[in-house]
Amino acid sequence: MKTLSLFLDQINRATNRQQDKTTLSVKKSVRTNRNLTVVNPMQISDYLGQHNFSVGQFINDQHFQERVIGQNDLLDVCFLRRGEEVARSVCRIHIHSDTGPAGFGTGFLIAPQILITNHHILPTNESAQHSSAEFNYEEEEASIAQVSLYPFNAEKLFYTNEALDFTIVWVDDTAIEGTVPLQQFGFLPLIAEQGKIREGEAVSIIQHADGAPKQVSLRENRLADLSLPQFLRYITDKKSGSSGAPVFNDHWEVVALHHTGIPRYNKNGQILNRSGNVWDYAEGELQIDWLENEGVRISSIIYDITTNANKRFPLLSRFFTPITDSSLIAREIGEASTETAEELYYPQLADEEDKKKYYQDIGGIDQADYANLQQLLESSHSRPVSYQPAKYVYPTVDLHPDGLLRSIYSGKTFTVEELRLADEGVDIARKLRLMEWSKNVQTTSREDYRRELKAIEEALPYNCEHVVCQSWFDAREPMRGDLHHLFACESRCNSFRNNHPYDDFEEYKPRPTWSVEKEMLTCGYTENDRFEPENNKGIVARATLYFLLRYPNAISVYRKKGIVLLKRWAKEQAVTQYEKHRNREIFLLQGNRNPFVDFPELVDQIDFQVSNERRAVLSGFPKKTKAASEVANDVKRAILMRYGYPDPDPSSIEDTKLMADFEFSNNQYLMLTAVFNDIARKYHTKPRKIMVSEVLACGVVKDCIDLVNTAIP
Amino acid sequence: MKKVILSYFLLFGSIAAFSQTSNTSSWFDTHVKIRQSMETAEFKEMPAQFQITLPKGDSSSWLVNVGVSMKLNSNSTRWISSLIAEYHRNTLTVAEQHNMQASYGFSGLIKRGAKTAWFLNGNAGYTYDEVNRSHSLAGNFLFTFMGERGPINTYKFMPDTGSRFYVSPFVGFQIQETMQAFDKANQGFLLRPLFTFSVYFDIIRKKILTPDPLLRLAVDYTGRTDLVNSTNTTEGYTHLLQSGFEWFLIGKPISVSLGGSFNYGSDPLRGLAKQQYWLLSLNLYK
Repeated sequence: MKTLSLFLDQINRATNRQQDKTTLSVKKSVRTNRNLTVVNPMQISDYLGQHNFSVGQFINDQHFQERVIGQNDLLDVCFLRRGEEVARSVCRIHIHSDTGPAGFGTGFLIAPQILITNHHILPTNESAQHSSAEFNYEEEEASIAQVSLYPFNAEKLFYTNEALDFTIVWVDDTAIEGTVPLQQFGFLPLIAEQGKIREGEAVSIIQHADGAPKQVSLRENRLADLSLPQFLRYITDKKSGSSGAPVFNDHWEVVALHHTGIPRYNKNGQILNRSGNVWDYAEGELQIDWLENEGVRISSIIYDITTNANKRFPLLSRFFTPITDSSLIAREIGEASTETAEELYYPQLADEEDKKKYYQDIGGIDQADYANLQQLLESSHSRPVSYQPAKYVYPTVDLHPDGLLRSIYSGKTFTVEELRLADEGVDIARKLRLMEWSKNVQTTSREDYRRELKAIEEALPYNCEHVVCQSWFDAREPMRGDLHHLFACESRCNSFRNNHPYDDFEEYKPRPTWSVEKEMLTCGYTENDRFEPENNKGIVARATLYFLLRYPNAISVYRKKGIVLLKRWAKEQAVTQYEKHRNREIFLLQGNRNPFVDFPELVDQIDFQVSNERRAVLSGFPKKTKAASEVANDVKRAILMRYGYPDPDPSSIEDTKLMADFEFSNNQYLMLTAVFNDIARKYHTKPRKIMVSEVLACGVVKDCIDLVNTAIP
Repeated sequence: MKKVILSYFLLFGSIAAFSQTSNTSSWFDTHVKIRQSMETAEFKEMPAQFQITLPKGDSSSWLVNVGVSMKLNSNSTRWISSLIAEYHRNTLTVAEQHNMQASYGFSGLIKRGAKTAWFLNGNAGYTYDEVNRSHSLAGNFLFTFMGERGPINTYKFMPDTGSRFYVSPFVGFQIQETMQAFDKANQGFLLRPLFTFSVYFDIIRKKILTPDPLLRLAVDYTGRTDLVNSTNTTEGYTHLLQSGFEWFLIGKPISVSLGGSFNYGSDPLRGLAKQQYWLLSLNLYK
C-alpha cells in the first residue's frame, strides 16, 4: 500500500495545480485537453451564473454535470491496485561507465529476465556489463524499502537500436544485493496492436526521475500527438532522468517507452527555461521549459525485436510474437504513405478508387438514370446516422481545408469546439424549456410532448442547416440525419432562412465570391417566403438535388421551375475541394455518395421530375443486372436444394431434366414457388408473381428457368 | 376372376398411359396422381394396391385400395388444390372394408419464416361406407413444417448418397358428420384430433441426380381420438400402424413395387375396423 500514498499525493498535487492557473501543468492541460471546458468549482459556479442555472440543477442532473465539466474522470478503484502491481516491474538503472558511476535511468522488465531501457542509457554492451538494475527503490512511510540489485548479462542478450532509442538486455537473477527473487517483480508485456490510446487521453508514467525513489505521474498527462510514425508525444510533468520509463494508458498497458523531452525554443533555436529566458546548462534540466515529451511506440519496438533482434538472439522468439498487421508493418519499415496536409484532407487517389467501385454496379455513369442512381443511393445508405451535428457534422465532415468550419450561407468561421459548445448550450436551453413547460401542464399526452419538443427544437436550432428543411419532410429519419444535406450554419442564418425554399431574386445581387473560404456578414435575402443564399448556391443546389434523388417525392417543394434553378446553380459553381472532402467523409460514415459532386455533369442527365411521381419508377426497376446464367443457376440451385442436396452444384442438372423425376410433393412445390419468387425479386424490385400452377406446369428444368425469367421484366 | 382382370387392367393400362419417351411432361403427368389414399398430405399417399392378402386363419382374397387426385389450376402463389376420388375395398380381412370418397384437397403455405415454413394440408368431401351404409361429410386439416434442408419433408441424403432418409410429421384434426347410417347410433358429429408420423429410409438403386429407390423401409403411425363425439358409439383412442418394406421392380415413369407390411389398428373414416394383418402386395405409384 505504500504506492497508494504516492498516488493520493499525486492526486492532491494535481488538484492544487489545477487551482493554480499560473502553473505550467494547468497551462498545458488547457492547451491540450479540449474537452475540459470548466475544471474547478469556481469556474463551474461562474458558468452556472452566466447561464442562469442553479447549483441544484447541476448537482441533480448527471448529464448536465458531464456537459459542464466536459468529461467523466472517474475510474474504478482497481485502477490504483493495478497501478501498484505494474509498478513492481519498473526499476532504477545504475549507469556505470569505464570510469565509474554515470547517473541513473529507468527501465522495466518486458519478459522474464529481459529488461528494456533507452539506448542513450545503455548504449553499448560494455556499458550494460558495468550497470545494474535496482528494483523496489521506493519510499515507504518514512524510509526506503529494501531494494534488490541485479547485474545485466549482456553476453546472453544485448540488443540496441539507436534510431528507436531502446536497448534490451538480459538480467541475471542472482542478486548483487537483496534477497527477493527477480521473478517476483513480474514483467510488463508489450502489446503490438494500435489503438491502445487516442489523442487527448490520459497517460501515466512510473519513473525514477533524476534517480529518485519510484514516482508516478498519474493521469495528469495527455497524449498530444499520435501522428508521428514511430513515436508518440504527450504532455506531462515528467522530469529528466526518467528516460526508459514506461508510459501507460488507463488500463496500465504500456503504450510507449519514454525517451526524450521536447523543450521550448526561441526563434534562434535556443532552449528556454521556465522563466522564458534562454536556458543555461548550469541551471539543470529541471529548469527547462519542457513542451512535450516523446516516447517510442511499443509497436515499433516489437517490430524491431521480431524482425532484427531475434536473428541475433533467437531466444527472443519465445517471448515476442511477430506483428502480422500489414499496415503496421508498412509504417514500421517506413513505407507508410507520407501524406501531405492536402492529401490528409482529401485523399484524391483513394477516393477515385472508391468512386469507381461505388458506381460500377450501374454499368458506367453514362448509363445512369434516375431509377438506377436512386436505387444505388438508397441501397448503399447502409449506415444512416441520427441528427447529431456535434458528433457527425462538425468534427470531420464539414471541416474546410484550414481546419475551420464555415457557415454555409454567411461564410463566418468557427472552430469545431465553438459550435460543439454552442450546441451543448442549445441542448441545455431546450431541456430547461421543456422542464418549464412540463411544470405548467397538468397532463401531457405523447402527442403534446412531441409537439412541444418540435416547437422547442424549431425555436432553438442547432448551428446546423438542413438545406432541405426538416419541416418539409416532417423531420423523419433517415432524411433528418442524412449528412449530405447538413451544413454548419450559425443559428442567426438558420433562423433567417426559416423554412423557405431557395429562389433567385432579380433585384438581389449577392457578392458572387463563390468562395467558401471568404467570410461574409450576411446570410442572404428573403422575400415572399423564398430565400436566396448569399454564398455557396452551387453547394446547396447539389445537396438538394441529392436529396431529391435519394428520397423520391419525400418533399413537394421543388417542382419544375425549382429544379431548373437548382440545376443552374449547380452548373454555375464548380465542385470544390471542400465538397469532395465532405462527400468522401460522408461516404465513409453513412455509405452513400452524392453523385452530383462526383459527376457534376449528371445534373443535366437526370430527370428529376420522376421524384414527383411517387415511386412510380422505383416500383419497377432492376435491382441488379439480370444475367441469364445467374438466374438459371439460382433456379437450378433452388430445385436441387428442395430435393435434398444441401450445397448443390447447378451445373449438375441438365436443362432438359424432367421435373417429374424429382417427385416433389405439393408442399415442396409450394416452397419452390416461394423460392422462385424470391429469385425474381432479387433481380427486380417488383417482378410478376409466379403462381403455383405455373410451377406445376413446368415439364423440365428449363421451363422453370424460363418461368422465372419471364417474371423479371 | 373379375377382380383379377380389373386389377391387371388398371395396372398395365396405367403403365401404358403414363409411359413417356420424350423429355417433356404432359398435363396428365403433372396433374394426376394415383395412390392408395389421398387422405391428407402427399406422404399419406401410399401406393395404389392391387393385391392378395393372407389374413390370419382365412383363405386369400382380393383387395382394391386406390385413390386418384387431379390438381386444379389455381391462381395463387401459396395454395394448391385438387379433386380426389378414393375407393377402398378389402373383403379378405377379418372385418370387411368397403368405402369410397370424393373430396376437394388442398395444400397451403401458411407461414414462411427465415428457416422454417409451415403448411396446412387437408381435404373436405363426401364419404360413403358400404359396410355401415353411411353417408358422411368429412374433412382433414393437418399441419406440418419444412426446413431449408432435410429430413423433415425433404430428403436427406446420407454422406455416401447411397441411401436417403425422410421424416414427415403432421398434427391436426379430422371432422366427420355422418348424416345417414344403417345403424342410427353411428349418426352424428365427430371431431378427432390426430397426428401422424412417417419415416422412410431408401436404399438407392443407382447414384444419379434423382435416384430411384431399390428398397424402402417405412413406418407410418397415425393416432387419433374422438374429442367431440355426438354419435351413440364410443371410439376412444384409435390408431393405425403400417410398417414394412417395398422392393421396387420398375422406376420411372411409373414405379411398381412388391411390398410386405404389417398393419395394425383401424381407420374409422375409411371404414377400416380394428384388426391386425400382414400384407404382401404389388404396388403402383404414379
